[in-house]
Amino acid sequence: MARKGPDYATPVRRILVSLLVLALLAVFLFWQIDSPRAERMRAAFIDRFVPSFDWVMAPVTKVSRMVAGFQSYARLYEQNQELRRELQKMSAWKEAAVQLEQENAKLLAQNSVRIDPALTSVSGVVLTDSGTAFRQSVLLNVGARDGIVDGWATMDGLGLVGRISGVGQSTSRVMLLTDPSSRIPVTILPSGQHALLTGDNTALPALDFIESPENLRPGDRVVSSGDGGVFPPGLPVGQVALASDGRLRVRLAADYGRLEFLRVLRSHPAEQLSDNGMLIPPPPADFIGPPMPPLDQLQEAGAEPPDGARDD
Amino acid sequence: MIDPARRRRILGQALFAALFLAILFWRLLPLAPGRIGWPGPDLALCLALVWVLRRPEQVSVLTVALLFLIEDILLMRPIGLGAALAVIGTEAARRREQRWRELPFMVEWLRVAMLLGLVVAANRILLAVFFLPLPPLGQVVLQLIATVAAYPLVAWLAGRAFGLARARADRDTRHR
Repeated sequence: MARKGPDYATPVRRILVSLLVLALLAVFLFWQIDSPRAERMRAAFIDRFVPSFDWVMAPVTKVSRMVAGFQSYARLYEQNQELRRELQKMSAWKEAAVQLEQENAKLLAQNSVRIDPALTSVSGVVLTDSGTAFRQSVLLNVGARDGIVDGWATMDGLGLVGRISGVGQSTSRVMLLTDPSSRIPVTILPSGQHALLTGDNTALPALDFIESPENLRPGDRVVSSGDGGVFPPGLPVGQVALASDGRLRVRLAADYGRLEFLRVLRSHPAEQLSDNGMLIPPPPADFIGPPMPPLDQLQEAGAEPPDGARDD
Repeated sequence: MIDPARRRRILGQALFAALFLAILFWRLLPLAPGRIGWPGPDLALCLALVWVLRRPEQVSVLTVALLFLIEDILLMRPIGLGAALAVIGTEAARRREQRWRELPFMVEWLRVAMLLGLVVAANRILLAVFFLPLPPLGQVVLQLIATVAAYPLVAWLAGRAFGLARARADRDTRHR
């Protein structure tokens, strides 16, 4: 190559450098044209090399977190006071929660509803940060090997964190809600309005496409709406907050300062409502009277319900 | 045996690559994932420019291209674009290195700042041309300012810790 000779100002070198730049731009064009394939190659590259650095990343991260922990000892007294205040508030809440739980148990017993057992989760540990200030994502140590699929919702213990975008064999990337390209359909709770949660690289993502903003109040609960079929509905996202520029934003429920263990929720394609008739069987035309008895009595009577009604 | 000049060149190249990868590794550490802070300086580009302007024979074009390509892949940036711009930037610096060597450091700093500004502007223009999502302008400008401010620091550290002094009277082996 040209770099071996001492005479590197020759035109040959210039041509080779131009060729190199052209080759890199060709790589860029390839990424631009066949983006899914290039992203798969990127995921495979990350998958191959990043987990092998785990043994050195883990101790460095641990030590830095321990230093941060020692720093927090300095404000032990304030934290104590704060915790006491919160404990008082919490005991009031606990009373309310117990009452609600009893009411809920009563209603559930009346309905004899089974909660959907399909919503299980895979837990993963955060491997790396995004490394740049313009993208907000983390890399998890679970991947296609563990059954992770693109688009699944990711939570920490408290609320929605983001969704999977990019899966390798043993790693997967979680695009956080604060990423500039994150768009999640949400419902704002007491008023039941739909909106789009738009990340814009700030700590508080904005709410777009609100039907009537005057019905919203800071402090309203925001949950995922499940529109579009990607996310399970009803996952807690955060609370509405009014920013100083007058926009409605969301204070996220997830602890974004301390993302360490994340849960990836399995979403099942069976939740797509493609065939209404299978889910809700039409009532027999000649039957007018009281509501249908429970299924087991029907079976004993020999009446076979349609297959789709029980296939959940 | 390998002659000393060649060995020094290979060692310098290895040291450069190791420092570059260490910076990349530090950026990837999950120290505070999810927290949105100020965009810090682009230390890797600073390091490459410092090294090219001090020891151009130790930083080959292929090394720069390969390292910046790895950085593009790991940081979820458009693959190849950052590497191409870094190669163009370091080549521009390398071509002017002989002339800049005699000038005071302030002038070098000023010209490096202009070069960095051009690289950032070219990156932004290309992103806009290809309809890719643009990062907010304010954050990009902040990062540029931080990078320019970090340049003397990186140069000083490289001079003190790795012997990359600026004046080189006795090692001028090339002819122009």
